[in-house]
Amino acid sequence: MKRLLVIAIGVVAAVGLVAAAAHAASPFDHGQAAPTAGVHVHGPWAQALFQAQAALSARFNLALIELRDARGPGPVLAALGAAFLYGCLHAAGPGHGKALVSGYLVSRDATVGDVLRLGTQIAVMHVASAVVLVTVLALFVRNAFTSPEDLRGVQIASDVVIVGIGAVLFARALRARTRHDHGHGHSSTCGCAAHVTSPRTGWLTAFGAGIVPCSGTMITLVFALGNGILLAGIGMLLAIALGMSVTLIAIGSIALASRRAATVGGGFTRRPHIHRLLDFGGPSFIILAGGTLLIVALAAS
Amino acid sequence: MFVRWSLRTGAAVSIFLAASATSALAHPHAWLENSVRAHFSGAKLTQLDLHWRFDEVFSADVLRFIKHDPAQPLGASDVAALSRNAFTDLKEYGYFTHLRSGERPVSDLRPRGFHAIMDGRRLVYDFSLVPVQPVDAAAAPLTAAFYDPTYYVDVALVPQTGLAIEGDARCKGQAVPDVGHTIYSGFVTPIAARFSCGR
Repeated sequence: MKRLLVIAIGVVAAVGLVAAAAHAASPFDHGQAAPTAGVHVHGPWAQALFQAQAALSARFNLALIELRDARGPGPVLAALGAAFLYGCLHAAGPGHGKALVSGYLVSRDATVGDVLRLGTQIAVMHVASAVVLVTVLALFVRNAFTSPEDLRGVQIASDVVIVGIGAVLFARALRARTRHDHGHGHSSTCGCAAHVTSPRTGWLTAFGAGIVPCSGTMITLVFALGNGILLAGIGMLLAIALGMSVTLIAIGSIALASRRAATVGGGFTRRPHIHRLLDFGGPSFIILAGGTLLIVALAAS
Repeated sequence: MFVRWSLRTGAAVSIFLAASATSALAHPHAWLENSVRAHFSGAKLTQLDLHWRFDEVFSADVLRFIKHDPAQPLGASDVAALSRNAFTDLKEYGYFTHLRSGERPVSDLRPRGFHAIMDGRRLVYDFSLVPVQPVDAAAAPLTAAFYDPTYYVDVALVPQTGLAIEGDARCKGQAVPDVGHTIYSGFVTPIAARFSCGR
């Protein structure tokens, strides 16, 4: 587990460094990288991540142009690399399942397999929703640059689902606690719904976190469709999904490690209050994060 | 010791959960280069001429919307279609031009003379914004900040040549970071033109 944690942290750090290296990218001729001034009102890490994301978005944009204009494996590999990094950093933004993954996994006895499955499910759902939306847009001849306002309905639906998942998990934790208080045994292998993951909850979680389409995917698909590079565009889509999975799995691994670090050592029965904290804290956090996003989306609509 | 351990664990988990919800957003998705010419009559701003050059991917998508081949020049009907379908939507975003006198927003800007051409495969907009009442740059500091509030579009002012002044020779303009007026949850400090007219 320790090795997995080290790998997860390493992945996050490496992605940040590589993305920072893309900082010189600009979609314009004179190589202006950051037209907006860098006055830091956030911590240096958050600001650095934001700037890396903005630079990577520009690099991603350039990769599409190069893919259209050039032939050979070089531009294709560059585009796939940019798409992968874009996916890694894209998943670090809000509304991409970080809160849900960490809140969900910190509140139950998940396995490494659960983390891998959940990260992949969310990424696949996120990209698939963009494909569906682009298909619908193509049918109605809309442009791919769907503004955040256009997607507000989908965003609200996603936030409602996230709050709902949090509420279900909270209710399960409450039921399990009542059951334990009435004399049922409480161990890490009790198999209560409150402590284990299930495929159904996993897919529901992926649905809630991944339903809002990925703008980069939509832009890629439409550009690829319009410029006769559909196959390469699909490759970039898969690379985005892979990149998102890596980030979500890294975050999930840290959540898993946090729970294990908190509960291993004294035995489950000797630290019931820690489990209670995690069982209720995870769902509460999901409700809080989803609720905040929901209020913001409703206020803006 | 047990209580201390519990508090430490709780704090660590809380910090992780909070950190996992930080917002570092994957925007922008479109870029435009902006050149601005400000017209003054005396110390009063009467008009802003804007020259926008979009990036290629965004240009391709907008042109696809009006069913135009990006490799071809734009005809009158294409310009009319862009004006009708794409340009008018920008009213909601203040045409990415946010004027204020002191701290008071001057939101009543009317668009005039929209025209579009192709520069290679890049779409270029030319248009003017006219304040309903000329705005006095001597009475209070006058600032025009250029940004998309959603930061979907990154609005850059072309370095060195992106800001020009026409009219009264006493009026000057300077491109500066609009410190204190950040957008996008505080992540972005837009570029602004700060105008002053010496007496």
